Amino acid sequence: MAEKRLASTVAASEGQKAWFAALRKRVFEDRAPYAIAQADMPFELFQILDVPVVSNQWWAAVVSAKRLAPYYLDKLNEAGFHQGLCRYCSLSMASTLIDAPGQAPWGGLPKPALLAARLTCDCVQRVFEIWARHFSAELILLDAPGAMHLPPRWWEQSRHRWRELYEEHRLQFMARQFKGLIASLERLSGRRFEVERLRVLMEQVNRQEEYLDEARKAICDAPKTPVRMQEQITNVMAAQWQRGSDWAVSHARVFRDEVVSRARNGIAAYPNERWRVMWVGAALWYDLDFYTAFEESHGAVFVWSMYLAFGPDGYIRYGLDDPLLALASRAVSMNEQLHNPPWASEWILEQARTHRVDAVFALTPLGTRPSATGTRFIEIALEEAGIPVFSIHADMVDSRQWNAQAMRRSAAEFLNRLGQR
Amino acid sequence: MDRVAGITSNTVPWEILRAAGYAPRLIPNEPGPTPYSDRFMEDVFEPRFRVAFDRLCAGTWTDISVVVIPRTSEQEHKLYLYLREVSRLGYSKRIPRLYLYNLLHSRSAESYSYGLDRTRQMVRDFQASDDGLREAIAESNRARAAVRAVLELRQQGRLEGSEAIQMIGGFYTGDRRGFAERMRQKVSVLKIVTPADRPRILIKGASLDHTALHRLVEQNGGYVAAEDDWRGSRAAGELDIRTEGDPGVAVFDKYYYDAVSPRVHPREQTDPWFHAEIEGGQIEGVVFYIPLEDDVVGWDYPRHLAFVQSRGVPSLLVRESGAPEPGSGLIAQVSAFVRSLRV
Repeated sequence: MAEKRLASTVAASEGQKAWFAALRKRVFEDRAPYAIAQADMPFELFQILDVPVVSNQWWAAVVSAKRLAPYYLDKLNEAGFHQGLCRYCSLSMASTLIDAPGQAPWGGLPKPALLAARLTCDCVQRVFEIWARHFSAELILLDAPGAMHLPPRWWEQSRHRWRELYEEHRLQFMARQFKGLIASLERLSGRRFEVERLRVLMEQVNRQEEYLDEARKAICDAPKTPVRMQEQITNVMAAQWQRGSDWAVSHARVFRDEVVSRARNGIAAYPNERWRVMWVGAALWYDLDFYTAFEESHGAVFVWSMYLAFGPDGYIRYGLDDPLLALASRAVSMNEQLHNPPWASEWILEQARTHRVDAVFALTPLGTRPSATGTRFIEIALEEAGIPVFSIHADMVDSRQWNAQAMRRSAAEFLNRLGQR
Repeated sequence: MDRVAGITSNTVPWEILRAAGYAPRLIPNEPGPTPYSDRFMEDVFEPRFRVAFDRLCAGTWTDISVVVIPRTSEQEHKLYLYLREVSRLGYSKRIPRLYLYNLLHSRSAESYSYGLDRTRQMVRDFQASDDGLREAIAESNRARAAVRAVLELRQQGRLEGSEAIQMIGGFYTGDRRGFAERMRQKVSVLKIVTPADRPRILIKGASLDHTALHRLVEQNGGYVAAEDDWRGSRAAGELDIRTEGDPGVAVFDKYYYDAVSPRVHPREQTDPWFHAEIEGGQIEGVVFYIPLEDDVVGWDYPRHLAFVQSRGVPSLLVRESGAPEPGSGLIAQVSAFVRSLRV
């Protein structure tokens, strides 16, 4: 495992474990309800109504990082679900469907009261329906109309002109769906939704993302990256899953301070950095060492992934006179922004330029369609801008087809072709 | 001469396009290289969408003046975005006008209301008049009746499944005005009476845009009595479009409540047709078709398998469709399965 250089990284890891332990205690001992939700759901609503929520993708990443994905996915296949099905969105489900006492990380997911997802792809409703029936839990699915207004440089409008950018009819539709979700959360928690609380939380989220924006800028401006990509992810995602909470805002500030301080003091994550590498796609959760594997051999340091950059560009919303609509604008186009042309390709190209990226490693997931699509356009945009791309076809949680040595050899050959520096 | 509107699925409101003076035509799958798709599309796309993307980029179908793509599957949504992007970036200057019909399929008051608004918007965008819509509704309802007549003959054992699929194909690809008459003429000359001992088989799974699997079953002695597919047994749906009231609402209700789509949810809405077919007692075997590139119907397979097993109906899972030519493994699988049903 790569060395954790930042104190905030250690705090983030410990904070997540403590949060999950508290969740289990609350659910098992206090019989409090909690929810499992897709990563693109409005976690803010769960937070203000005090229903803890576990991100499906986060838990899948935890299971994968513990090298348990092959076990659970093999069992899922034995149950009749073929190997080509989406694994990122179903691994957490598999970890609860398969009865394997003592296997699951950190004691496993307790029974949720609610499952919730946004219908981006065509399989997520199926995964969540199977899951909800298994637990006899309530299921909330939010439908997702396609975007038609797609100005390429969306991030220049998303903070202030979000109403126009995300199309009024889509925002209103999403906000109406939110009301159904709110009603369920109110029933579960016994609390009442207060729009003012949401406004305050949204302002807190803005503050949190502004800190992350400053950390990103420090990474862009520093001669050598002060923080590795993996540590960025640990810090950012620990805060994003609880975005707007006091802990999350405080953690984002601490992370920002540490990154800025390191940049000012000329501290590099890897002092012999020669090549700045961008990672496109979800992380390889079962092989995070991959991201430091080319430091000594090539001076190649991963400086960028979507996880840090998307916070400021995707989440900040100014003009919170209608916070529910603003929240809708945060959720309604996440898939377009991260994966689909023209938004994903234009944004990633812009990020590559501002981060002074020399080369890109782009993941085309084998088993996750919403993440798999759009990759070609991203690769073409980068290559036409003169940035070499190394394409990786692999799953982000399923290591069964991952040949770590062969992939390192191929990646090294690609880096060799960059030349000398 | 009518302008041609290319459509990608059963869920594009044919009646709105017809009322606007278009001849709607389902974009075909066809063999041949797909260089545009090879460059821009990932491997996860279904062959028919790869072909659609390629030919539209290449400008092959010069008679198509607009392409209407529904939000009825994730792949179609992506097809819309990809075509837009190729056009924006200038890789192709031949792509016709694109139109996304944002029909949602989750059953909720919000989705209904949203879909109705989008349908009304489409009526406005295409300048379809109420009178034009009413005429188109009457025309397409006649075509639906003709589809049902074809299916009835098949039900009676007088029409091979592969032949029925080809006949029904005209419902999507040709002029619906003449469709009913063409079907009447074809049906009048049918002489097939299938032997009673041929096991009646239902095909379920991913949609098939050819008859190769049907023909393979038939060549091995099976009789394909039905398929859970908008190109076959489910083409006409349960109901006609209402002819009274607001025609825009009537059109929307048909496509929202009575159309097959991978995004229809929940399963209480998707399963009854299949369950009724199995419980009707006529189906002796089920062939589940799940292509290798699938990421949707595979989630339903264990549930459907458990259902047919609970009803004592044998089944076979195949991962290839037999097109363009069935492999020896598939032939052996299907042959053994049909033989087992005859014992």
